[in-house]
Amino acid sequence: MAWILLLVLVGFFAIQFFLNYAMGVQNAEYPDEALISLLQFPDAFKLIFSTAQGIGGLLLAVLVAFMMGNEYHWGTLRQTMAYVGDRPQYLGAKVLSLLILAIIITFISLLVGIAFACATTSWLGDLNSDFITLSLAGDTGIVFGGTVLGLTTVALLVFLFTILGRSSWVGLGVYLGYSFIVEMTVMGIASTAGGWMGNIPDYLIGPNSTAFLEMEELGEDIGWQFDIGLPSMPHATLTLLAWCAILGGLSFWLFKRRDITQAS
Amino acid sequence: MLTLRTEHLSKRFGHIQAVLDLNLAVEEGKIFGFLGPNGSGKTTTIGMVLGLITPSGGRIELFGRDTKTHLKSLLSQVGSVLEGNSFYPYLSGRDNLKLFARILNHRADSRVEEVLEMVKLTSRAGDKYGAYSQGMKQRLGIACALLSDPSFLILDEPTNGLDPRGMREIRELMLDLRKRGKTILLSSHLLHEVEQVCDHIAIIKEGTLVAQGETAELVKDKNLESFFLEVTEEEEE
Repeated sequence: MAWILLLVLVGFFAIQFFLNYAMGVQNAEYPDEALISLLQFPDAFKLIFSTAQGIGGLLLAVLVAFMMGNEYHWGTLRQTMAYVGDRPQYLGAKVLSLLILAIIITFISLLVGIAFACATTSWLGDLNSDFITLSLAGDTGIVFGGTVLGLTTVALLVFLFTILGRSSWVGLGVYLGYSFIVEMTVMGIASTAGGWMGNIPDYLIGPNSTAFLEMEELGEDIGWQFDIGLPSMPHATLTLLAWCAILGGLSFWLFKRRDITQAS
Repeated sequence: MLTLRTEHLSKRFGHIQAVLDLNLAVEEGKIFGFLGPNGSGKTTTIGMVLGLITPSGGRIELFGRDTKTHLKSLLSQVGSVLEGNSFYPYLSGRDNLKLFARILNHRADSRVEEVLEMVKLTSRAGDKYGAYSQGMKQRLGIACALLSDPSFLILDEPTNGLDPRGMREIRELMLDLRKRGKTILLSSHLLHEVEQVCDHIAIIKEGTLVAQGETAELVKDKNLESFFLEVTEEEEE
């Protein structure tokens, strides 16, 4: 399964870069400068991390949902807990695995993205290392950390609901529902509403993850589909950490309380 | 000394009283038969002893210590075969045991081949668990229970799915383990098997204990099947 997901990740990056390249240069007389800029370093880093948050989030959700859900489905959770006895220890190991997966997915996305960006940069301009500065490296590091934090938050959401429903599909369903229905709906409403409703997106996972992409050294903003501002980075960090604490805390509390019965 | 003791143990699932005021006493070095009709609360009781199910009331002691506060350390001395036990289908039998050996302790790793031999599964140990027959899955469960050389074994329907030869092998294994000083709690529907190996028995019906004592004393002139039916039917009247 891991190999399939890796192929999906690489394929998605390929589509992102090559499709945007084709769209950017299709009109030779009036090429899309913004799109072309996004396919070259250093702006390409924004596209890379934006893609990592998108497809990476989905792939991580699948991995986490089945990592925990299969334990219920196969009955191995019951088998293991009959020997381990320490529920927080078991779940702590799972949460650690989830965090490591988030780091790995972000890292692989970065490597794959850099590879594709090298290709598009060389086709569109001049591929050289002049863009590499200490400041860029620092900003890239911050965005990397922010992406990992955003992915971890999403993973914990999936994790909690997989435990709640004792099923991979519940966790995955909640992720899809939250990302594509709840967040989209709320942000759509907030973009036209005023007052306190307009502030709700400041506390959702998506806008706070995207906030990390607004680093100056990484070039022009890639644009945000909703007519609302993104939170600041300190706000985003605190909000996502709060989400992690709540989701993680609820997961531990629920897992500790629940009876572990036969395979579901 | 008592290996396992339960005091007024109870469990309620919503409006269903699965176990009520259960007082069990399993002596060290004995094979204890835990019997009851389907749905009587045997598996729930075993689940509570192993910390998988939280009791609604009462107390459980393993090796004289309360499981509420010392569960993790106590479980290191307990091996169990659960009804419907399961392993990772994409791993071989051997790799599943190695995984559990890592979970248990470093000494358990050295016993993988030994326990596979004890349950006669060595020749198929390299095959994926997902391809195992029911009998082979059961043997692997027993092997896993023996990995850490525990002093107390809880066996919930251990011969489920085994052919007559396999059943005899497991029966002989239990008797051998008792000779070596192990304590065994055996939950089984196979009364003739229980009668052959168990020193003590307890019979539970609708979550309540209806009989407990030495097998020979309880059964007396009858056989265990007759006694079981008599005791469980009597409560219905």
